[in-house]
Amino acid sequence: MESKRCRQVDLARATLPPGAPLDPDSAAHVRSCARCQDAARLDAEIAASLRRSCPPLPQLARRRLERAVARPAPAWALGLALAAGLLCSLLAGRLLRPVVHQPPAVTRTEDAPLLERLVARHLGRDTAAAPVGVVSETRLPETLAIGVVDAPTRTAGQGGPESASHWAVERPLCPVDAEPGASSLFVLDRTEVEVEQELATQLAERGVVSVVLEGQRVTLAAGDTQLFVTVTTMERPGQLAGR
Amino acid sequence: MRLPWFKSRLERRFAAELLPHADALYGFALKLSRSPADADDLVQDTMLKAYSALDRTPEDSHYKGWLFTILRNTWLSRMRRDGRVELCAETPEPISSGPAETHAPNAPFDDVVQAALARLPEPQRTAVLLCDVEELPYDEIARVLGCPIGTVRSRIFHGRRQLRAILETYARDQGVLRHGVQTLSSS
Repeated sequence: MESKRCRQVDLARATLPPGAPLDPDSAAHVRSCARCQDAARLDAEIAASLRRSCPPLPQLARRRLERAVARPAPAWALGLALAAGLLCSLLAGRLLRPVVHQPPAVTRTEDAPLLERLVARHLGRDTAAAPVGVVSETRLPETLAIGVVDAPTRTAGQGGPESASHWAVERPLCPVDAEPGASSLFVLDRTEVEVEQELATQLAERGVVSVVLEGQRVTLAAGDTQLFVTVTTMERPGQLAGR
Repeated sequence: MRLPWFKSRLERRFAAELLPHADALYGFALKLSRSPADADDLVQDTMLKAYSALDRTPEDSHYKGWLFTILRNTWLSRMRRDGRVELCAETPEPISSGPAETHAPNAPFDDVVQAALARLPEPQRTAVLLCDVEELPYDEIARVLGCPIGTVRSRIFHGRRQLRAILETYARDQGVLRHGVQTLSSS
């Protein structure tokens, strides 16, 4: 049964900070009082039980909380992030560009303009049967000289030589034998090939016309009944692809 | 737009000073409200209120006690809004029945303790929780409860005695007690 002294000890325990020892008189009473020992034991069991039954904040609630306090980044941070991203992509492109040149993809070019088809055959992209009007085609050594052409070099537009209306003079003449890379010679039957009027006029005037098509130098030389087309690789395919 | 590596100074303070107390707050809120959903809302409200005032708070503040104060005030406001003001009453409800009437003799001790705690008046419950579970010093508890330290001691004293009174029969059945802790009078 609880005595007045027991009640005083209870009060003393309630006024002490957690874990602090009782004063000597109260401690002596607790040692001799079974009721106070039980009370202290039960208090300790209750506190331990309350501490056990404290589940942590659910992860979902924690993430929601973190999102709720997250503020948008200021403009300067966004700009910095964009600049860093751009720099990284540029560096990655420069550092990770493959050194090995991939073989050109084989594509269907049957319906393309004739000169574009010849360029494709030269590059190995056109493996179908030779176009109508092609008498022969030969891979030439790199050093084969066609001759110095005393005429302006022209660049073909999207439509190729057949749509020569948007050709434009790009740069002065340079000899084809000075360019590196392999060459292909195509011999065409003039009676089966329709030459655009402007091109025919230039061929009649100068004998030889050189144009740049898909990065390849295409040189046309007129014969009596034949048309000689030379396609010379000006740059490596990997360099072209990088442009 | 959010950048994962970008955090403002306030966000860093929030993560370093407030977020570590989220689990303790949730446990406290769960014991006050006895509902996980309400406890979740309470912690959310408390943290957002604290965050909004964080830039006006000194960096060497006692964040834990401050957070508990906000949470308790938020809880009391909700209780008043819902008309459940009796929870704030200082006078304890009479403890006339032990746990045997509501719990089977072999019920887990933790469940019985939770039920007994729920029967305490809110001021005593909060004082016991902050002292025995969170181990806050008395002056900190006094700030949370908004009362003098003497009142805190009184609430802890009466709260523990009532818990013992509720749990005595059960504890004796479970072998925790050998002689009993009968009180002189009802607090």
